[in-house]
Amino acid sequence: MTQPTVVITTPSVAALQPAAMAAAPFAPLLTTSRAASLSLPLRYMVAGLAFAVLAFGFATAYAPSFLDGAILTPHLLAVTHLTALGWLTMIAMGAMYQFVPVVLDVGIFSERLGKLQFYLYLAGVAGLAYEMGTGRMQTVAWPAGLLVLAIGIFLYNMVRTLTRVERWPLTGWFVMAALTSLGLVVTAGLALALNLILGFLPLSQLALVEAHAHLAALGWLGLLVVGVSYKLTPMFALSHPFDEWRLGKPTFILLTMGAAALFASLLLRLGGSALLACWFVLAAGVGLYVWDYATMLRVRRRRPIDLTQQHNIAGLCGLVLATLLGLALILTSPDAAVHPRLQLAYAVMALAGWLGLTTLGQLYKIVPFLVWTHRFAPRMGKQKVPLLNDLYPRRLASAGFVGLLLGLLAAVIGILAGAQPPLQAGFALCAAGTAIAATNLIRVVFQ
Amino acid sequence: MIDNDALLTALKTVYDPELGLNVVDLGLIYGLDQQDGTIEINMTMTTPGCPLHESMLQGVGDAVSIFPGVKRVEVRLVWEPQWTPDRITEEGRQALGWPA
Repeated sequence: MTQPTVVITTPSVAALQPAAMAAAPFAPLLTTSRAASLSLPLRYMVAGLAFAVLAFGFATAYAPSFLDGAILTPHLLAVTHLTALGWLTMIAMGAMYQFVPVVLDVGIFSERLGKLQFYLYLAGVAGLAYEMGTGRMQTVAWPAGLLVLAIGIFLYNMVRTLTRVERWPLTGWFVMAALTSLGLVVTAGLALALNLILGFLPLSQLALVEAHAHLAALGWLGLLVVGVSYKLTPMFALSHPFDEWRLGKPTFILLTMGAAALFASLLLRLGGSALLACWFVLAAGVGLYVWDYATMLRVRRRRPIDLTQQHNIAGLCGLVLATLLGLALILTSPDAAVHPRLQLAYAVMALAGWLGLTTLGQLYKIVPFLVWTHRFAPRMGKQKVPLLNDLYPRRLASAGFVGLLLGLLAAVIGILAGAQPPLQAGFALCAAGTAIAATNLIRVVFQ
Repeated sequence: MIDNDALLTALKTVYDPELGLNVVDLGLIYGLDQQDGTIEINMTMTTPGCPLHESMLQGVGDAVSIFPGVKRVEVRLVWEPQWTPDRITEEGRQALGWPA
């Protein structure tokens, strides 16, 4: 018997009728045909998960030294960079290789560059963490150079990709602002590394560190996470009616302006009043975003709150706590004994509490989706195929989430109280929680 | 001619793997027509930018290809009228946890 011919017809952007344009004014028209190959984003995600476990493992081991009152210690720098670069940025870059083609309807300019970049970046992160962890700050230039090269390739690849985008949804604007921030972050990071050797900059080294770190967390990772949530949350929760532009636009303006102003204020040491003004702008942006996120959930038609949403909601709580800790930092004298502990709690809450939880939550969607599309999509309509959340054990995943959440709370309480046992136990719990998430998700890839 | 109910039953085997709901109960099927061994299906997606659209369109085509006498299946993705959750069937609403 001859197999029937199946013809699929999808409208192109050019053929889109005005009424359809009105129905979805800024939404691109799909699609998986533009998507990068499976192996490109997944390699970043697997490596990022491994670095997450490593970061919390080192944090547990080095926790006793974290309460000494010094922030720029080799161990703390190593853990911070393992978190920001190895875990969060690694996953963010992999997610962008998957997300940008789908959401902005454009193919990645060069997958080969993406793969080359991965190896350079991997070596750079490992080298930087090693050099920093062993206290050899004079030799961080070589891994820093590798990282600059890898991120430079990433930015080139993304810019060449984005120049072909025809229509820009709200998420696209966040992505563009995040990439601009990343360019500045890497420039500031390189300047920092070179300045350690050559001492050529007339700026305080601490000012550079603070400006660099804030732009990385808020400008690069933060704007990306917020922008992605504006696409994924309404899509997965079936939020309706929801207009992403109504509060999304002022949120975007407040967060980008606030991040830029904070970078300049910290770099140029403009003082407490400038920092307070930046805080108000950013807090307004955070407030609007939290309100808009609550709206997405309130109008959702899919009632159960799934694991990704649970991570995201916990991440939002982390963002609010980090914002409040930021205010406490501005209002506390740098000479006060509590100041370094506030700095550390603030960093943990922003990086792991907000960005880390959110990133892990999104991976519970992205990784099963990638694997499902590759393995099961061709069988759909011909035989029974599993759902996305059938691909991993949900109870174990929930246990990992709870472990990470409780661990973070214990660690932050330990930091603020200056108590080592809850700090160390908290980080150990975080390591166990992320190890469960990593095992779960890596098993989805290789099962 | 194939019974329309039989075609819809076949289409109910195609699930949105994220929502766990089939394309019929999700209200994605806008039109179903057949003539001279050709089945024409107009369908939509819950959102433009849905990364699963190609898999679902192909799955829909494959699901109705099983019937004897079918020579050709045409699956068209359309955006008008725009999908809203109001198109979800009663069964679908229950599956998504909507209050009764």
